[in-house]
Amino acid sequence: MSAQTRGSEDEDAAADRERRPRSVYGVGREPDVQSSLANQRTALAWVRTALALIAGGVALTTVASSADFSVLLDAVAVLACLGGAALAISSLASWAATERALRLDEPLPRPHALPWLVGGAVVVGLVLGVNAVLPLVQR
Amino acid sequence: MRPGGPPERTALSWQRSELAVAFVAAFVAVAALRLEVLPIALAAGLVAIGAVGVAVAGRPRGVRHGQVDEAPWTWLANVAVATAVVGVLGTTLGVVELLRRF
Repeated sequence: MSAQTRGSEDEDAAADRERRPRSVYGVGREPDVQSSLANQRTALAWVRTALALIAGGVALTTVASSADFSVLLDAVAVLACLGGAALAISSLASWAATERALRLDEPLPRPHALPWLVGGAVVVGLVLGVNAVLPLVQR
Repeated sequence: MRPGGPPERTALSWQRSELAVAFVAAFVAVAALRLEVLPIALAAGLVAIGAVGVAVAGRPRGVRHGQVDEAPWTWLANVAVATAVVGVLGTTLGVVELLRRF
């Protein structure tokens, strides 16, 4: 092995040691670059989903304050904003778990947030739907 | 890897996300101003200005010196934490409005 090649490998190893978090980059070997980039894009898509939840929550707060709507709207708005904040943080954990699995050549972890998001959207949709229809039925 | 493909898509995804943080933070700021909750308006406004600055002035994420950026953790954590902060501000705004009703 030439001195130049050895020097380059030493630099690579040093750069590898600087990469954070160590819980991800301290294990396994370098995965396929495309998979790693796709993992980044997936995490960013989760962050944007979280932002959509927050924007929806704030919009509900604004609407509820401008008219005499049910307190239920305010409660749903608070839950949506809280859910958005939690989803943003969970996207970090999800990115780390997937990157680790890619590096260790293990099966990818299932998306833990997805069932909660779908379940939450269904429940909120049903509650708001019933809340909107009930006064019409009672007339 | 095909040049200009996935790295470019990833860089665009970063930019989209940072601008989305700025947009939603600005929305929270305007809503808080409208509802006269000034501390939240101020905090959300600062997050929005910061996010616009990072999105416009920062180097493209996903690629570095024409190569794939292999350590996105810091930026990912920044974007996620900024989003969580905007979420907490939105939650506080909702709670303030809820309390005003009683």
